[in-house]
Amino acid sequence: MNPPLLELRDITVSFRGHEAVRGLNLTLHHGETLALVGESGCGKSTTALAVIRLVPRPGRITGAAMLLDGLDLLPLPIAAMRRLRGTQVAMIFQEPMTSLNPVMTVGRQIVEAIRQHRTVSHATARTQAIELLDLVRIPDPARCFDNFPQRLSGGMRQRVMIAIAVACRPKLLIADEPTTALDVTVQAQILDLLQSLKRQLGMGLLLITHDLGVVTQWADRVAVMYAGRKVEEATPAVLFEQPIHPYTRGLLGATLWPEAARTYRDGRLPEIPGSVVSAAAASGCVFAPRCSLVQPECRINEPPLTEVGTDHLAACPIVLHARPHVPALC
Amino acid sequence: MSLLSVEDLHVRHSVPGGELRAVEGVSLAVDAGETVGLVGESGCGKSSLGKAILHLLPVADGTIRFGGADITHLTGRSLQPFRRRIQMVFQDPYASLNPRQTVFDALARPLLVHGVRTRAARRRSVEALMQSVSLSPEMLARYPNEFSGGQRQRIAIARAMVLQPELMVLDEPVSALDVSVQAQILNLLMDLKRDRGLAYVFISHDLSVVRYVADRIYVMYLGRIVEVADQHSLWTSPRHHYTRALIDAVPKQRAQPRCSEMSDAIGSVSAVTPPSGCRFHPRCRAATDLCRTAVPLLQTLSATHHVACHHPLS
Repeated sequence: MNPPLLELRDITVSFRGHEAVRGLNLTLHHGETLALVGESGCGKSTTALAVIRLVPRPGRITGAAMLLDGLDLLPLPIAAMRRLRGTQVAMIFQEPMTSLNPVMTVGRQIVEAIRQHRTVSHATARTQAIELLDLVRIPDPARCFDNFPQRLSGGMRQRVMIAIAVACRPKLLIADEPTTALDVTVQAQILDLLQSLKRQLGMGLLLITHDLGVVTQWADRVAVMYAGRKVEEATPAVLFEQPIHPYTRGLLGATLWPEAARTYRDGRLPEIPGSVVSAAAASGCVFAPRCSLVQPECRINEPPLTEVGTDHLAACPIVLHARPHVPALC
Repeated sequence: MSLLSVEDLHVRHSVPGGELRAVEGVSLAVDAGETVGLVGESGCGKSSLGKAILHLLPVADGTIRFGGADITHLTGRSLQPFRRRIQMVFQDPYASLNPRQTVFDALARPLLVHGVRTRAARRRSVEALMQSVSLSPEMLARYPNEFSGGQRQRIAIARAMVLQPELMVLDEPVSALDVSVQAQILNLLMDLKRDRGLAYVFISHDLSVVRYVADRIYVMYLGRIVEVADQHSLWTSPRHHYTRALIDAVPKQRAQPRCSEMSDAIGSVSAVTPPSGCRFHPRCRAATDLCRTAVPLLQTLSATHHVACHHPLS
């Protein structure tokens, strides 16, 4: 069997002693979409930046290994890592306007990305850039080539970002909240595009999102993160049908699903009390301060991730042992 | 009689290369104690409409009535009694609170402006208010940077509540918040509505949130209202193709093939040079020549359901 496309083994990212990500294990197979889900401050973006080795100072990545198609990225010198960015792993961000250069035409930015990694003439790069704009389904790509980013809508800008990211055919594409700044109608189009490009170009996709709704439609597997830890992992179907971790259950319960047709007349929404606390200094389970099922032992030992079913991991022994008695949510 | 009634309102912004008609001929009514949802994509004019109601943007044409009185052209002193009856909460609680003002100052300031003279009386009102938004009165001496996003939005809501308004315009009040905090704020807003009989204009791009909070929903597209209905009819039997596409785009709990009626050909549509006829026609799969030439008027389907479409869905 092929090695996985991406494998994180016991990865910790710390900023001056504060651990934004702690002991994270993550596996992403070839051609797969893995969604990292959680609220702000859970460490999902830091994980993404760690994979592409762009964690800002004074952040430090430590751990056993971070393997991209078998190659450990952790000990890699900066120059070698830079060669991999774009050709092996690429990333798109939430706000396409701040990641595009406002004083350079869209075309020049794509050409620059191509010629950074490939020795091709300007004319060839130009042709390739227009093909890329066509690939991301921008109407009239030749005209778009000469446009400045501010002339484009948010959705079109994100398409340009995707074109730049896939210019050198990376094996892994990291998308950090790619549709959070976009309208819901455009969101569906962009995620459909990412899905079809993934198939067409044979990429793996690491999709970072806070929106559980995005996950069902577009992810093969989901890892739920809370305060720097992975607390649950499963396929979307399993996660939504049989959520184990109280945080996952809380997130699912607080989301307004169209199928549920809830209105305020049906009563209050289930809340998770409080807000995400810092991962530092907490002993025991990181979710204990907000958990409605908390037991004394939760505050002493950090519960390990255990296999609770086929391809289903969760870090909550309390729910696991009481499972038949825990009421279903949603 | 409606608490708020907006008739044929126009709001225009001057931009390089012309005039952006953000709101064009919008009529809207809100009854006392009612929550009206206003949905649409970014740039559809929903925030401009909200701000115009509060006199935060100039009205180019049309009328705004509040409690039966025409307040469209009131300014200064004559507007002040109405200002305390209509308040607004904005999307980003990081931008809408003054970082140099303590929470107490932020909440007590409107009381001072509106004539509550003694500091003790102001403190009493403000402390009661903090409790009603589930914050401890001990936090009053703190500055906004000491609070989380959800707590800041509670403060922003408290500030809007200080003068005991009858109507609050909420502009994307939960869009910047995490899901778990969003539920807390929605619950708070619905509790306040129930306990104080508040009316809301709830502006959002998120149809699933609007469905939860609203009694009636207005759907807006490029400056015009395209459909109005009670929330149940709008979700179960939308009549405008745009509304249908908006509903289809909401992510579902179970994966399913989507059959959106909306074409992908967007990016060229702008409110500076809006399309002729029905403004939605370049994106609509049901568009005919009629749609390209004639502006569809809002027609009445039932007492609570109105649609502006030449070929409404059945």
